[in-house]
Amino acid sequence: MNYRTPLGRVKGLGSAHAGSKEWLLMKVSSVILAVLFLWFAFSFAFLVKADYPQVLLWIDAPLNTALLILFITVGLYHAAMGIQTIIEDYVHKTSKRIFYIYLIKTFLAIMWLLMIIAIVHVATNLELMLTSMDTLFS
Amino acid sequence: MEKHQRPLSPFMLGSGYKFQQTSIMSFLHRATGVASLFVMLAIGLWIIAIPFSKPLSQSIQALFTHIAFFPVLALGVASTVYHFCNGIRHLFWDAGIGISNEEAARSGIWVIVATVVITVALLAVGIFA
Repeated sequence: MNYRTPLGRVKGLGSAHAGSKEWLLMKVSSVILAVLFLWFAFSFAFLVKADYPQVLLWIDAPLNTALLILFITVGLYHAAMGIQTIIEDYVHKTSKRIFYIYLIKTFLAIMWLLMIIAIVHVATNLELMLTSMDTLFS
Repeated sequence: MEKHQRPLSPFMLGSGYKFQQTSIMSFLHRATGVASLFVMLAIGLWIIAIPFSKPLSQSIQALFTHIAFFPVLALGVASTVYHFCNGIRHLFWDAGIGISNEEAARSGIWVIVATVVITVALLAVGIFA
């Protein structure tokens, strides 16, 4: 689905004739992160001293699960785009530039996947984890 | 292929421009953005550890709250808060609001004030609440 008007598409074309999509994604991700930042920061300030059951219960609350997944997903996407911009600015050799961008994006994609799996695991196995206090591998 | 020594556009920090509040804050936005990614990855390691191993996740919490780790924690919190505050200023600029030199200098002061206030509030909640 394309939400952009024909005029917007034409006006968005700079000298590179591309990049307005990236610009818009940076704006949209910024707004989402700006809305969620204080919620996440103050939640973390409480959680970092909380005991294990409290942390599990917090992640398991449906609103927290959803917003946490949203925050991590948008945050890492925003970070990947930001790091790409920095690499494009400072790494001038094309082969190196492409290599570093894909290296970091692959790493961030793996971290994102592991974090989502961890959150979903807690949210779907809360009773088991609270009663046995045993975890996935220990 | 022949190498051309073409001139680069003058770099924001260095001999090309004099130091200004706006240029330093712009550079800090990038630096704190990178720092925020490290903060996110550190918290990410903790989140990954939670279902993986209870002792490991508690060890990571103990590290985050350890007194010797406080300088790193405070710097990390300040970085993310600065990037948040200055990012909101960027969103206003993108909407065409506050882009004159005078307004940018004034909003820069507000970003610094807000960063200090929110950072202190977060650290206070982390320590006392």
